[in-house]
Amino acid sequence: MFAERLDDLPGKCVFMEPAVRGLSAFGFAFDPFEHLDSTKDAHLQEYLVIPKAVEIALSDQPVAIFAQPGGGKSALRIYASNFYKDSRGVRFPVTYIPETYSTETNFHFEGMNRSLARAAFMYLVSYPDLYFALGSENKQKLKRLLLEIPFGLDFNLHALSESRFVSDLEQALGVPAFSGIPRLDRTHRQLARELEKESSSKPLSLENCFELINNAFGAKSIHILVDGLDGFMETRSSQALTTWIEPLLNILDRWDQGNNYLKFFLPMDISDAPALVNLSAVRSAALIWDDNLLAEVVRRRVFVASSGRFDSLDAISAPDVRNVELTLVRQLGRKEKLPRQVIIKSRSLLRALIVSGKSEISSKHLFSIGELPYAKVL
Amino acid sequence: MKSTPPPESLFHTLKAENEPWLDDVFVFLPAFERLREAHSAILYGEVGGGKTAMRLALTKQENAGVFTALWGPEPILENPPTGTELTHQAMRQALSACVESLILDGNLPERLGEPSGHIASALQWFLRNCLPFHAEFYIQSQADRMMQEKTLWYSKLLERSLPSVITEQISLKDQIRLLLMILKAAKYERLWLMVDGLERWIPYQAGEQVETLVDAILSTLVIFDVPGVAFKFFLPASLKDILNSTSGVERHRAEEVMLEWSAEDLQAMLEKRLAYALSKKASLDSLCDGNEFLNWLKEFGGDSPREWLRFTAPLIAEYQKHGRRLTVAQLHDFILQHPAPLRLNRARREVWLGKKRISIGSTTEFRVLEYLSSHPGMICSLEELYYYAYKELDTVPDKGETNWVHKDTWRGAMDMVISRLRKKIEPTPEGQFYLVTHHGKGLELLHAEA
Repeated sequence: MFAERLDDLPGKCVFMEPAVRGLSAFGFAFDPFEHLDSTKDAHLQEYLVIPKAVEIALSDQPVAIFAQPGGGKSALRIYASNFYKDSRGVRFPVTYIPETYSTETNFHFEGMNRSLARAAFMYLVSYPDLYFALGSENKQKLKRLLLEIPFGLDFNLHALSESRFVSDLEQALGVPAFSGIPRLDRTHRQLARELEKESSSKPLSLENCFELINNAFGAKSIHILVDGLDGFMETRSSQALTTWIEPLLNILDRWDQGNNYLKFFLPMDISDAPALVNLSAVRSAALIWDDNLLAEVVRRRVFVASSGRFDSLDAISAPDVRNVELTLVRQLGRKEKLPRQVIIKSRSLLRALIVSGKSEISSKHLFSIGELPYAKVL
Repeated sequence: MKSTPPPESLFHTLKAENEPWLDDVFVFLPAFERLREAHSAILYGEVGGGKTAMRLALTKQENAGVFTALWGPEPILENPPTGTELTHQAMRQALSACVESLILDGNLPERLGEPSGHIASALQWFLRNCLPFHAEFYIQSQADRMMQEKTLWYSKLLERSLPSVITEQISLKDQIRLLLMILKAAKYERLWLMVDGLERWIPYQAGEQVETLVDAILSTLVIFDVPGVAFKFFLPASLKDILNSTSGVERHRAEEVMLEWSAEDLQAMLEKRLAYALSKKASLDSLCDGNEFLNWLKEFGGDSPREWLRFTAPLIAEYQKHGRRLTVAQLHDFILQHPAPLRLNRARREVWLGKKRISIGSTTEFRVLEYLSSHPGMICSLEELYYYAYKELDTVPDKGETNWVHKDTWRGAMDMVISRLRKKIEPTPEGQFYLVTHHGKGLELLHAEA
């Protein structure tokens, strides 16, 4: 049971998630239940289940989506961002997630400015030829917009010239590229040189940035996806959170007229806050899950991870075991009926299966995981 | 060829950091597999439970593209902040630890060679901003821990004129991303931040602050959760209840794993060490006949590897002295001569023999043991014990004082208390291994530990 030495561990030479090693025997190309954090899940777009009510997140209007922790807010936000990116910037996505807490008046707007600079930079990296076709005024304004980019524009231009892969920049700036180009080439180095040469004065104001994105990138609308607002100790209460986002709520109407839409992804506790309820400009919806939808969350993941070979865990279960997904969902308590919880359940089930050394899920596997703490399953 | 350490080293060295042979004797528990996964995790374990051994074993995966940095959180003594500012200060400590680990263990000169401008620039920024003192001085001060070429490489890097990194407005999350950029250039795929060493603060007032610091990080883990970065916390089990309510745990951003040892795991751990120290075929059976020692370990060693190692150390010495394995009778004598240490937990009024809790019903009995254990190596008179246990007096009153009681009044009660205690703690009915009577003088408590 024990490896003889630490050096004998399979992971020593090639890093591989322990679960994947066992799952491949059941026909999975990857572990579909590995990531509880959607920001780290490379397959999210392929298997995300979106309840009908929150499809408004993708519409051209200001929106507030409410959900419980683990209810899929961030997953929906990432899905929306990718959905907009597929429009090649016609519907331009900007993700704003505050990375610190401050009550300064312009805090959110400055943060959005920086988010916009990151997104614009990655847009240029994705479509570098677009820059060369711009008029001199727009080129100069773009440089002004990019002055807000983290680490400074000089640093990023060096990174653009010297890096080999787009992913290097994506990782450093925390923003995915808009196109699928993997490598940086001569065109990017030329872009870096031209941007470096371009003169600049002071940074652009946020509303001028919106205008520039429309003019220079041909965007018809800008969708600012606001998430992670409740991640701070100071914003845990719904009252404090409402107060914190008030400057953004006050500007909704004006931005809406310019086709710049704020889309909030907020905790459920805040859904009945008067400041939000009384806002006619915002359409709101809640991410609510029923048993069938949650079972679908599992099935889609199974389908994608098995490369379409099967779409239910029933396929790797004993003949007397049926409706594995629904059974798992029904084991959850009323307050646990959330995607994150059913993913944890599914993960525990597959790990229990691997550890047992059996070739199929039995009733014993299915009903024992409800009683065992996760770590004990192994 | 490896040189085999003396057997006692493997059983007396109770700190994983001091065990160069750990790779060869490491036991893979289910918890280790959980920690190896890419996401953040919290390993809870008792003191001496093997948390640090787990951390060191995880660090061995460095070759697989995971860079592990060790962070031992330090209390913030002056004007400790609260809220987000506290989290920021904690993360600044963590980043500083990452940069130090990178310099000492990251092998950057070899991995980066002649780094490109932006990577050199980013690294220079970290050296200048995240080290405990001036970068050039820091590098020079580590000369005895680094090869000369490495020191030179860093010194040269610091002298280079490079494009500046503007960080006035950037968040700590961006700083983590920047660090990842360097790591990626150095062919590391991931960064694991190992958070360990909280135990050293817990007995002191600063312990509370360090707990608050970890609580703050776990409560705001979402802010620092960058793809490619995972936090691996190695925490005392006593913190589990406190950290349970942090959002990091509630929202499963950090998975909780309990470090638990079964008797079979502990036996495997002992036997791996025996095989390493004595001979490949050595096992517990090689040391003594019968199962008495194993049963005794199970009873008094509990689930603590540190206790099992410690209790086995004198048996190995005895085995080596005899030059052959102990008979059942010899082993029995050995156990009586090496009983499990008696420990008192004053705050909880508990008495323990090794890891076995002894049921002490009366306060009087506890106070007798308390008095004796606070006078190690001394013989305490029955009078002292009576006045401390029954009257809560630290000194014996003089005859005529209000509290003074004639010996005939209490002698019988004290004999009963001592007799009851002996029944509870002594290994044999007639033996005096812990509570030893010195006729005409009083009692002495042996094998007690603070």
